[in-house]
Amino acid sequence: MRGMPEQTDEALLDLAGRSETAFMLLFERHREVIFRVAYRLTNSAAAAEDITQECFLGLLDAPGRFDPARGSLRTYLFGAVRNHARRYHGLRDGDVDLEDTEVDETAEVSQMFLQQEQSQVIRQAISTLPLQQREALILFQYEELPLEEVAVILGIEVGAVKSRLQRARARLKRILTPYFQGSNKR
Amino acid sequence: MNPSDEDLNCLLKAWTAPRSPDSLEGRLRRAYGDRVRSRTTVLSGEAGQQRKWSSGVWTRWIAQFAPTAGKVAAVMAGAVVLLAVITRAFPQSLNLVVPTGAIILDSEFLDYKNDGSYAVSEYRTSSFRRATVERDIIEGGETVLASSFPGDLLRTAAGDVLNPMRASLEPIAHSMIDPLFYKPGRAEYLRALAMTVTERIRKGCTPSNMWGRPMTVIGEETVLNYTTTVSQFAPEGGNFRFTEWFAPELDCFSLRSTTEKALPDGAFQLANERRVLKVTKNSSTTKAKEQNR
Repeated sequence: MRGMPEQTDEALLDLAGRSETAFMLLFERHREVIFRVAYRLTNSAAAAEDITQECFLGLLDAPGRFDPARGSLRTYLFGAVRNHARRYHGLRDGDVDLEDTEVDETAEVSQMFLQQEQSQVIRQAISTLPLQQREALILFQYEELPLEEVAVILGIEVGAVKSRLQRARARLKRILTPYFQGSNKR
Repeated sequence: MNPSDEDLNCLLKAWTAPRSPDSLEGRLRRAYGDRVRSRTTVLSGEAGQQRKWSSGVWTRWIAQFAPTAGKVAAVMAGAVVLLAVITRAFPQSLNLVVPTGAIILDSEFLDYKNDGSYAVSEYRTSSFRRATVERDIIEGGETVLASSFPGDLLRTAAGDVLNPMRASLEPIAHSMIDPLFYKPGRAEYLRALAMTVTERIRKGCTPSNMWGRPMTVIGEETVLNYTTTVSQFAPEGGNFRFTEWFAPELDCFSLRSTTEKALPDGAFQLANERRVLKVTKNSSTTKAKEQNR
């Protein structure tokens, strides 16, 4: 028995509604990555905890919604995190946030950056990005997912992912310029 | 000066996310339990209307068989009495219910007093069925073959009658009832179930839980030459803690379990304990009753 291969996510998902052990094994397998993405999308550990729980419980409510032909369970869970995060930000399904809304790049914000820890600066800078750009950046930059998978999760073309990433990076560079100048002076 | 792509990548790396809190697991387990319970309630609600109609039909249907049902009940009662007499008169018949390859365990149950002394409250011989794909057995099933309660003749006598009956009837009941569940996809269900059990064994009997709450692994110990994972459940603000010694080699059956009560000074004192004294892994049957005398 010891030499048996690990069961697939699909096999565990089939069992999850009837076996708590199977459900918890699935949770153990994906909890960190789901929590991490939820945290980065919401900037809140409490919200990330709620979202992570909802994503896994969602597997029980609608196991039929997951189609292995469209991607792995991890991809499906990323999609679920994204939907919950959008609701957290007050967006309903299908709503779009304004991609090109001007962000606050005032001197006060920049000055505040100079007085903060690097990690907090980045966190704050990313939180000023429109949600669509933030989603793309977090999945690609932090979770190191291939562009194709990011496209599936966000439900857009690969080209659109690239464009969101470019805009996000350009905007971050702009926002962070005073920080770079400040750290060079120091 | 605008930062370069490399500068930006370096800076982005500085933002690290925290690990998910340990409490999340307990929270999810509770939510899982609630969800499963609420589903059952919803199903009962939906079925309620139908049941109102169908209960009358069933009552009428049963009523017409009433005389026959009485006879069937009488025959069953007779069979139970006969089985009890046989197992009393021929204790070795008990061996028939121990399946080949089962693990037979001899255990004692101890009750501790405040001064640390203890008394044996029960000796038990039981068979432990290993996880199989043929039946719905999760995390091992224990069948009591024989038990004796020192100083309690009545309870011992009752056990003499009831244990073999239950041990004989249980497999029959299982073989009749189990196939009624999860009819569609049953083969896949059983296969996946066996794999789940296997993965838990492979992970050294983790995760383990008690009353739907996660147990914490506190160490590893050798009991009767078996390596065991020691897991503990101590409810927050509770007045006791429960510890089990799970043996991966025995499909995570526990070779020892203790309940300790909390003292006012925060220390814990043993309240009761189950200790497995002997593990028989071969297929030879055990004269359980004789061993317990």
